[in-house]
Amino acid sequence: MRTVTAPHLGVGIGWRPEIDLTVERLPGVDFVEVVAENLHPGELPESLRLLAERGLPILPHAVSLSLGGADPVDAARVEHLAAVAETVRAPLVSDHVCFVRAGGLDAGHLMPVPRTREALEVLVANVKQAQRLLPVPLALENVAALLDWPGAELTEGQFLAELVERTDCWLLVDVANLHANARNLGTDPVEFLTAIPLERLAYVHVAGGVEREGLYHDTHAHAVQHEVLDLLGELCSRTKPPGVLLERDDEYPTDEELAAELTAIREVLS
Amino acid sequence: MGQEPWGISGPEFLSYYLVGIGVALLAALLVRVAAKAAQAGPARQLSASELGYLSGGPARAVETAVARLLESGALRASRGTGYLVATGPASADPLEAAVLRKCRPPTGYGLVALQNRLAESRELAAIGEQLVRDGLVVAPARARGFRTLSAAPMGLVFLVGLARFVNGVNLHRPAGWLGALLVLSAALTVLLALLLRKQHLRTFRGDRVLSRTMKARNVIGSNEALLLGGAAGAVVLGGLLAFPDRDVTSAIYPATMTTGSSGSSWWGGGGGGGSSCSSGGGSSCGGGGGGGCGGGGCGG
Repeated sequence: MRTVTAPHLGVGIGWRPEIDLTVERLPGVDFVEVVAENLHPGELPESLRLLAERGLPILPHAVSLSLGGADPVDAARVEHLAAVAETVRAPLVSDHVCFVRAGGLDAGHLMPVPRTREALEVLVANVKQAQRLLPVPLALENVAALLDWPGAELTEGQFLAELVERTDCWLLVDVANLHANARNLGTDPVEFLTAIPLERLAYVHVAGGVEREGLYHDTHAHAVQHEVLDLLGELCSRTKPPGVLLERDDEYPTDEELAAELTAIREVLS
Repeated sequence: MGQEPWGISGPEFLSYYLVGIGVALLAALLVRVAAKAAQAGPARQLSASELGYLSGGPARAVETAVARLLESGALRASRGTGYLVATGPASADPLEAAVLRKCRPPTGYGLVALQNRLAESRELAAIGEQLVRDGLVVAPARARGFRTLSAAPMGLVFLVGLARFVNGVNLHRPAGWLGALLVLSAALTVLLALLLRKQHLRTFRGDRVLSRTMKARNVIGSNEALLLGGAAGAVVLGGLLAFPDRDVTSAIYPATMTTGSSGSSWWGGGGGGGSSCSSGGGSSCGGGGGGGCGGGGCGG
């Protein structure tokens, strides 16, 4: 059965062990996201338990399902994600439109999927298989890429639109990745936002990065650039996103700086 | 009645022995007074780190620096890892700057490991040497010498008692009371020689300066209030366990360490800590599989 509306989430931040206390105490955090692979179902870290007791939505975010890969879906990984979702009573879970493994090798990166009909067939089949094992809706996120496979038959927006159409999955739009692709590959973020079904938007990722030697690096370790917030504004001019989440994974700044980034996001939303 | 050993009756010897213990205690006290009555130096405004050192020694100095950095946001405590990690802002205080250098992300340090790593640092040595020059702290070598000296008379009393005890036992004399006093003198010798050795020793002038400064921090607008008005004042006196933010202290101290004083945790503390690498997978783009942010980035 197709879920019609995404749950309202508000403004959130990625929960990481290094900033657990900070996340607990930052003002204006409506929800958090956790990296599913870093959690053991049934035994939450104290900090997450406290947040769950407060009723804060906790969304598991996976990085290893490799749904865009030609290898069969690893049911154990999906079941782990499902178990984490049940432990934190998550309203939905997410992973990426990418592959991280191929032929037994682990890339260690989120690799983009070739935007061909053939690759879409594989992705759709994998997503459907994962959905059958998951107790809650699955949202899929656009990735940042440094390379574009040759022979693309669809734009990224069209590719995702068709994926949603055929699987009923939700979308997790990362505006920093949109900016990275625009900057590094010359893609058109406005075309992306026009092509995707915004009514299937679950929430949005915002992250920091840095420009080095003519390339934008989506580091999650630097401040959010204004171009990324501009893209969030562009998205907000088309729809009101159910949630927007700040991702920070390294070089954690002061609590004040993190709070200021959340405030900047709120200002774009208002 | 046969001849008394050493020409002194048992009860007489017991009285002399008790007097001996009293004199040895008095001697220890006088030696301690002599140690603490060190030379005076010029008066000056001490930094928070120096006041921490003055109050509780090197370990407390580190705790005071950590407290000020936590309060300013330059240092972050993690509940899950128990580690302290710098967040970016710098500090002009040399010890605080050293703490920030050690706690550079992504690794950071647990408190005990941090104290151990900084124990031999030039920043702590500089504070200790300056406080000695100021006449506020007894130089460690001098303090050790005085402590040995303070235990020596009690040790002598013990040895005399031991000789009398052995002699008495050989002569089949009753020696129960002497045995009890022997145990007492042994215990006092150990106490003076070992336990006091581990204490940080202030001069009388140091006691006065610390007491005066801690009182002055309650005067609104005073330099001391600016320096120690927040968490630092509490930590100077009581160690990081006195840090007013309980969430932070429970994050820093593993549950097993939250009892007892942190004042001398440098030596006695032990437990927990260990240097640290931040938890696997947490950094680098949300972990999993040790990927990384390089190249095109996290994409996640």
